This record gives sequence, structure tokens and C-alpha cells, in this order.
Amino acid sequence: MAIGGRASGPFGSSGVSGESPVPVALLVATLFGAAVSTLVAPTAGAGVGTCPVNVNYDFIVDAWAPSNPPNGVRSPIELRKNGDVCSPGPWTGAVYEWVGVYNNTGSGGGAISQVGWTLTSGKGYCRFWYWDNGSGGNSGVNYSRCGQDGAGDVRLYKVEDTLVSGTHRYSVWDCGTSGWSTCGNSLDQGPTVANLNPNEASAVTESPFGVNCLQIIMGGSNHPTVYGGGLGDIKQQAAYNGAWTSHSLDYRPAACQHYDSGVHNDVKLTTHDDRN
Amino acid sequence: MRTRPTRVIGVAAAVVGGTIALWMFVGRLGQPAPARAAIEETLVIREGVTFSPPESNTDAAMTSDEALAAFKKVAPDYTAADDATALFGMYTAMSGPDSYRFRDQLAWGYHSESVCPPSPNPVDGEQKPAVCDDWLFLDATTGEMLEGVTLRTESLASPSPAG
Repeated sequence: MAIGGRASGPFGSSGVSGESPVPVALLVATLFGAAVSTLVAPTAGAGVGTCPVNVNYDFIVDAWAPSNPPNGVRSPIELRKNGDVCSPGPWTGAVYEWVGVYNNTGSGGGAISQVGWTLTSGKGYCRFWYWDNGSGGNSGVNYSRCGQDGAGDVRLYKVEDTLVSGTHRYSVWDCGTSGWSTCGNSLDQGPTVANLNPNEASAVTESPFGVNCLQIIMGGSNHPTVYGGGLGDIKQQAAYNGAWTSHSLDYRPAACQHYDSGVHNDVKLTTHDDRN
Repeated sequence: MRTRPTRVIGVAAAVVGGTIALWMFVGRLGQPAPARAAIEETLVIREGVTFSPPESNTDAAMTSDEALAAFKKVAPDYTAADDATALFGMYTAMSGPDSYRFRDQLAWGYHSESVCPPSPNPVDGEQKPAVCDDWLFLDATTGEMLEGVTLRTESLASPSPAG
């Protein structure tokens, strides 16, 4: 199973069209007035409605799939703040923009280590990271820097095989805003390399309710989300402590017709929603 | 039938008592609410992340409401903690065996339960809606965000220490 380029999901179609927030909004407005209805509006606007039961991931992906497990991936990611996510129903709405390594082979799949930006209902625009070791352990979704970064701000994100007390782990890093040499401590030591056993290292824009274009990903055609760019290219590491270099990336477009990419090559990916 | 001096004393006592009560009430208006809504036992949020009781004589510089208000000046979209339970304590989050994102940081922790966001992991396989524990930790002195985490409730019961 590859990430991206398909209208997939374990539950099939989300059936979003049948769900409208209008009756709820009307009821709230009737009972409590417009001021209260404003208070309960979703974080990033009231345009996209309530989250459906079914999760249908959609992606724009620049993927590196080497023959041996990748050692790491890094990229600057430029934040845009014009997305819109569904408001809580069975789920809390969210979109994610990240770099990471993962195993999506199906056998032993589900393991991942990832870091980047998120827009999440009730939280706004934040940095996030997450890992899953594919063996029942995960970090939970970790949020920080909520509200602290502006549109156009760039942070340098990295996932790298790191030796931690004698064990190789896919550690998660935020290297700040100026250069890769100022990474400091990792945000999280991450899952073990042995457990994760990734087959791809990618830059990904992801909407869990994206196949029916329910959610609006960040970025517009004039000011897209940018992976790579002025602070450095998307790069990968093929071996432990090896050089960071560019590789041939497999671009996979989204299924949603509104999710687009202006640039997608081996060093840079831009993503946007044509509704922004 | 009461005499005039008795009535005067009664009125005077009422005035003095009322004044004292008013003085005490007004005096409290400018002061923080009690800041000892402290956590009583160390709580393991997940492996390497704990929220512990503060030192016995330590108070929060800001009330939980003040800290949240300061944070929301920076992050007005953050509504997830609006109806949360606030606890005062020391927050520690390890980033490795000998490194910390935060260590014994005096913090307000805001806990609530909410429906989960879908996992950011797109290869997570089948996902069913679930309730999550949602934590937000703010610096108890400045209201600055330390970090937050959302954990599936069932994950709390059996986190894997293996990593």
C-alpha cells in the first residue's frame, strides 16, 4: 500500500455530502443567539462542516523509496494559515504537513516517525510530532508552538536514525529557523529502527478527511506550503551518519481535485488548496 | 421593646461588620484565586512524561485562568482547554535518556476528554472514533505553552515501553 495518489481508506467513501452543519448551527443560533454560535464555531472557520465517521486519507506526497531502509529525511516546511478543518463530530478535524519515515508495506506496516505542522480543530496551527512503533506503542499526538508561528514562517524538520543509549531510533527533530547545525536535542527519541523498519522517507501533505475534499489544506496557489526552498532542499540520508543528499522522488498527487501541487521535483514540493 | 442605645449599638455593629466584610471582599478581588489546585500524586502521562506534585511551599505565580488567558492571547484558536480541569504541578518531559524538553517545570496542566483527531499516521490501518485524553501544559509563571498531547484513552492503559 503506497501513501498517496488514491482514494483509499479502510472504510471506503466517507459519505460527507449527507452531513450538513446547518441544522445544528440554526438550532444553536436560535437557542443562544449569534454570539454563542460564534463561540462554538470550529477553530478555523465554519465552512467545512462536521467530521464524518469514516476516515479517508488523501495526500500529496514526494516519496523516496530506496531498496534499503532509509536512514532519515529532512526539509524546511513553510507554514500557511488558511486551511479549514471539520468540526468535531465522531472525530476532531485535522490536517497535517510533515516529513517522516514509515512502513507502508502492509506486513508489519503502520510504523512511523513524523514531524511537521498541523491545523487541528480546537487547537489551531501548531507544530506536531507522532510516532508509532508498529508493535502497539505510540507517542500520542504531541502539539507545541500553537499560535506562535505566522504564515510564511519556516522551520527545519528532521527524522533521523540516531544512536540512543546503544539503540538506533528514528528520533524527531526541530532544527529551528536558521540551519541544520543548530538542532540541539531531539524533540523525542522516537521508535526503534528495528521496530519501525521503514520503506519510505517522504514529505507529505495529508488530510484524513480529504478524499471528498471535505477539509481545506493550507496554502494557496500564490502562497503555497513549501517543502524545501530557501532554507534548503528536501534531502535524505541513506546510511547512518551518512551524507544528506537529494534522491529521485516519486510524486503522488492527491485524489481530491482541490488539492494541488505547483512544484514537485526531487528537492522541492509545494502544496495548496485551490479554494484558498 | 429595645432601648435607643441598644439600637445604636446594633446599627453600628452592622455597619462595622458590613465594612469589614466589604473590605475583605474587595481585598480579595485583586488577588489571585487560591493557586493550590495541585496534583497530589505523580501522574505518568506517557513514558518519559510526568506531572508531579509541586514542592510544598510552592505556589503558582498565575492562576489557571490567568495562565490560560495569557496563552490565548498568543493562540486564540486554542479552545480545547476552555472547559478543562486545571491542576498545578511540575511537568517533566524527556526527549532522551539524559535530555529533557522540560524538567520539573512549574506548570498548569489542563485535562479534558474529547473525541480524538484521526492519527497523523496514514498507514495506521482501520481507525474507529475514540475518546482521547487531552492535555495542555502552560508555564505557571508566564502562561507560555510548554506542550500538549492527545492520547487515545485505550492507549493510556497499555503504552508500550519498548518504543
